[in-house]
Amino acid sequence: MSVRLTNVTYNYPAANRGVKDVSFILESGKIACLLGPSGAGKSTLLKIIAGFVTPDRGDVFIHEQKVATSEKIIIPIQKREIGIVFQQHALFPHMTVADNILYGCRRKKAERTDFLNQLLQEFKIEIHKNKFPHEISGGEAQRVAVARAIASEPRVLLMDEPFSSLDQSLRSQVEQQCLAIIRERNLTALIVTHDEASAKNMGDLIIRIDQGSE
Amino acid sequence: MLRGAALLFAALCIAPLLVIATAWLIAVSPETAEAWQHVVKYLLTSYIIDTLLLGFGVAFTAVVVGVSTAWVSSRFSFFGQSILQFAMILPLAVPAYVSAYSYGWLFEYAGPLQTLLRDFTGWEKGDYYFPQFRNLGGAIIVIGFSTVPYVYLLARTAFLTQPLEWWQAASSMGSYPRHFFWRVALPAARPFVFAGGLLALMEALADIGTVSIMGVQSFGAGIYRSWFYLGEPLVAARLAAVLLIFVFLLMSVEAFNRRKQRYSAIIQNNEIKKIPLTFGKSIFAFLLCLLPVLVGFVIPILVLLRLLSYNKVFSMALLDGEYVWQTLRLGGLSGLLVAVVALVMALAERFYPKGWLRYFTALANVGYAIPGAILAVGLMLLFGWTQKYFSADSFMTATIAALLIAYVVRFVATAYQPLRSGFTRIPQEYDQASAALGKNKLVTFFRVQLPLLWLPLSVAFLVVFLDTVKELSATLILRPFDVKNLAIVAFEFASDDRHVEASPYALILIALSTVAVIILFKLYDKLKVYR
Repeated sequence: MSVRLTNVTYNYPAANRGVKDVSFILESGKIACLLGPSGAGKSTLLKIIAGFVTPDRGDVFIHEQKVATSEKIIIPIQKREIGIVFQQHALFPHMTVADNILYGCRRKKAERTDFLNQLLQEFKIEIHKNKFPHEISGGEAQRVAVARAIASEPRVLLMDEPFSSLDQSLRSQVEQQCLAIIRERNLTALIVTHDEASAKNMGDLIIRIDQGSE
Repeated sequence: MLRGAALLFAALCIAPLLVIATAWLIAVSPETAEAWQHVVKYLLTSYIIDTLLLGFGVAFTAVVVGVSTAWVSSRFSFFGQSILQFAMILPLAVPAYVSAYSYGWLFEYAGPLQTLLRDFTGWEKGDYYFPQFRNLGGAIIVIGFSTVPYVYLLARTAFLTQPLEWWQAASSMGSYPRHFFWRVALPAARPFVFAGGLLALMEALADIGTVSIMGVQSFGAGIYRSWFYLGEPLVAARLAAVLLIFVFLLMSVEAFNRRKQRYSAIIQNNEIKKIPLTFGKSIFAFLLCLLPVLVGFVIPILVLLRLLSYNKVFSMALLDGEYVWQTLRLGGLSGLLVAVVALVMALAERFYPKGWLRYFTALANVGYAIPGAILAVGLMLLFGWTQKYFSADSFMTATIAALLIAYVVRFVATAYQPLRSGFTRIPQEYDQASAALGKNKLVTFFRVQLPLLWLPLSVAFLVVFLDTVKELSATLILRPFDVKNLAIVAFEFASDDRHVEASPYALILIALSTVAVIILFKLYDKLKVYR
């Protein structure tokens, strides 16, 4: 199994929200969708798995290795080998599309160019290779963000409402394209969404979160 | 390591203040006790009265002129507006003590105004009344107009960021701009105006140069005289301690004001359509905005040029490249050093936003409100005691290192603010994305954050450079004996009433500062686009 959470609880300081006793297992190569209304704690769970937030209670495992436990980070984020796609892309504005994609690439220098070209082709963004993030559209930026996360060859891909900033027609197109690439590469992915139809379309598994509980 | 460095800087900033606070606890020699008694009996009352009058007079002048020009230039369109909008920040390039001696000479008996009057009317001395400038009123005008840009910039930002809907709603209810200003715009901008006024007041408290030239008995002048003329550092320290109480009171008021600022509704940016003025009103608006430029920039420069013309060969011969070099060296070094220290503090806060560190960072930023003279006295005593404790020779007193430490303590807040806001404009997601892609904090800083911070870093450097080039109080007290920059040499000549000799140095100082102000103005413009 790829990701396992057991009784994970987290409360935001000075706020009556968070997540409570969440447990689930995500098998390798599967895509799971975390589904729930706004403020339910979906993104918080993602942050806990990523290592941005330390759980108050419970354990987090990635590939059977305990990465976090009650109030303690065991494996820091840099060593968890995860890829993250943010809602607002978080592309580095001073780097070109190519530099952004290669930022976390662990491959040898000689292999990098081929690897980059392959990703650019897969995501159909070759012509934007030397452009800066402000010179490309929202849909293209989203594809670059997914390509960047995949370029680091993560064990788990975490996506926080990755397509919600796109309009409806563009969303399904980018969603299908990215999903196909993720499946082709047999990646384990956890996708946060509040859209049930989208979750059913994308996920092998749907984890419903409501009021911080699974 | 980051946290350790931030802690060290904070300790460095707080230490001189603690030294000043302990000045009361130290046993003093009979001579010092007698000197202190003399100060208390004959001088302390006038120090308090003059300081209060000067401070509030300066704040009043800066607020009245700054707010009215900010309102007019932000809401109305009139002839010459685009040039004046920029020109109104130029008084920042003229140190108040330079203005002081320019005006002092302009108005004195042998100055051009009275000479012209006598030549024109044939009057002799005693035949006419002419207002004196070298007094408290003159000091208020000089420091007040040199601090107008602080209020102007803050108030203008406040007016420009007020939602357009306020004006639309008010005008639909029959409100004219004048009513809107008094009932809506000004009350909403109050926290900004207050902060600007307080900055002007602090500037008046920190002043040594202008008050010395104008003969005002303020605390700044008292500290300077006790140290240099009476040779009593502990008397100077005790005066500094009294002034420090007043500064802390003002800082508490500002903290209270900031808490209230949360409730002022500066919500969104709008492109406000400016109201065109009729010809007559346009002329009035032009003259109003021209006033601070004339008083704070143009007239002092014209006076200096006139002084320079009296004996051009002699004046230019006096001009030693060494003073320019020292000015550039001190300004450049302190700009770099302070920007690096501020960067370390801002970075520590970015990576460790919770916990004890933020309190130390806040404390380290107190220096901006502490007059240079107080810091200098505190540091001198601190270095003296340290050297005595280690039975060492004076390894710190009167060295460039000591001076740079004083600049760090004094100006770190001015560099910290642009860097902090630079960091807040870099989304946390960038750090998180970098970390998720396997990069540690150091790599994230150099590859992601630093390239995005060049603009705030340049602003930080330039602001400190500008402040250091004009700074007088701390430089005067702490400088090595063989180091003189343009500010020192201009002040020394001016305080001896050698106006002709002072003029070339003052003019070069203004030229350097003007270049820095122009670049800063351009950078701020870019910063807006960057936002």
